Amino acid sequence: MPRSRDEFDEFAQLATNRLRRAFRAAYGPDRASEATAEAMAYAWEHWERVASMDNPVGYLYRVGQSRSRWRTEALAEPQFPDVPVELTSRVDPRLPSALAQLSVQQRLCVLLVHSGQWTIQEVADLLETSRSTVQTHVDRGMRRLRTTLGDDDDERPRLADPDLRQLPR
Amino acid sequence: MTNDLDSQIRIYANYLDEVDPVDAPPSYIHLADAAEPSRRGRWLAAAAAIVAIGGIGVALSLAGGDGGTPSVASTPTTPTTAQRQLTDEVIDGEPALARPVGGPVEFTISTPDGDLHGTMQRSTGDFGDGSGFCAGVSGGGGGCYGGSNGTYRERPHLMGSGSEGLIGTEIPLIALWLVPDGVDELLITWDDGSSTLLPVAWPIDGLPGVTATVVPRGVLGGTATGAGVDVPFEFGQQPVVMEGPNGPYMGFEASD
Repeated sequence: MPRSRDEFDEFAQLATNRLRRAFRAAYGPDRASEATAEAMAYAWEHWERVASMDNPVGYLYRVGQSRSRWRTEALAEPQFPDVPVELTSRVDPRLPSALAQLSVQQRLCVLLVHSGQWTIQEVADLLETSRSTVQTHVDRGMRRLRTTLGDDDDERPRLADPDLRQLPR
Repeated sequence: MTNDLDSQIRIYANYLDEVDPVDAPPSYIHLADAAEPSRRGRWLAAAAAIVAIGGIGVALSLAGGDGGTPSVASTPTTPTTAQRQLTDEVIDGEPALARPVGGPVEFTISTPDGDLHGTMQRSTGDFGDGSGFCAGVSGGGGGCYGGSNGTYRERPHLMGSGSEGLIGTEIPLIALWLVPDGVDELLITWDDGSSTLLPVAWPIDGLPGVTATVVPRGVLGGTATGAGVDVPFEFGQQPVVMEGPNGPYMGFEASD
C-alpha cells in the first residue's frame, strides 16, 4: 500500500494531540514536545506498518518513550508550570511540585484520568495494560499527592511489593 | 480556600492546555518535509546516540582496544533527580514500586559487540519497606530484584532483556544477568550453538555482580554458566513495556 500523506495527516492530528497530552503528563511540557516529535517521526517513517496496527497510539507512546529515554533521564525531574496567581484560590500552589514527585506512571495516570480528558480504559489502552493497573497507579498517585499536600489522614506505611519484603542478602 | 484534589487537578490540567496547546504545529512535519524518511531516521538515531552518550556521564572504560579481552569498569556518580523519578516494575501483572535509595553507580561491560554502559542502584519497596536493587544497561536490558526473586547468590540469574528501540528492527536485544559472588566471568551458550564469555562488573560493594551482552539475532535462549551451575534461560516471544532504572523500555519477558 503506497504511503498516503493525507491519511497520515489525518491520523497525526488525532495522535499528536493524545501523545502530546500523555507525554506532558508523564514527563512535563518541556519534554513532551520532543517525545511526541520522535514518535510521530517514526510514524511517518513507518506509516504503512503503523497504519495497520490495532493500537497505533499506544505503540507510538512506547516509541516516544524509548527514543527519548536517555534525554529524559539526563534532565532534572519534570518541570510543570507554576499555578498562576489567578488560580491560587482554587489550586494549591504546591500541586505542580507534588506532581513532579510522583512516579512517571502515577503522574501520567493521575493527570490524564483526573483531568477528565481520558477514561481509565483509554489510559490502559495507551499503556497497553489493564484497567486495574491504571486504577492502582491512580490510587497510589492520589494518595501520595494528598500526603504531600497535607490532605490525607489515612496514609499508612505499607509494602506493596511482596518481592521486596526480604532483604536480598 | 482550595478545591478538593480532583478539582484542583482538573483545573490545573486545563491550565496546562492553555499554556502548552496540544494542537501546536508538530515539529515532525518539519522533519518530514526536510528529509526523506530514511535520511531523517538516521539523523534522529545519530542525535539520540549523541545525547545518550552525553547523558550517561563519564563512565570509565578500561577496555578499549585490547584485542577483545573482556573487561569492566565502574565508577560512582552523583545521584541525580532523574533517578528519583521511578522504578516501576510489573510483577505478576501488578505494578510494584522499587524506589531508588542509593547510587546509581555506572559500569561498563566490554563485549565482543562493543561497550555496554549501565547503572546499578539500591532500591526500596513502596513506602520505604523492604529493599532490593535495580540495574540496567544502555540499549534496554535490566530490571529490579528483591529478596524473593530468586537465588542469585547460588547461580546466575537473567535479570531482564530488552531493546531501546523496537523489537524486530535493526536495534539489537540486550540481556543482563546477575552473577553470584566470586564469579568473574559468565559463559553464555546460545541456542544456536555459539557462545560468549562475558566479564562481570561489581558496581556496588555488597550487591551481586552484573554482566550484559547483545543477544545474537535469531536466538531465543540458551544457557548461562557460572559458579559451576548451568542455568537455562529463554526470552519471551512478545515484547512488553518494562520499567528499569534507566526508565521504560521494550523488553521480553525472560525466564530462567
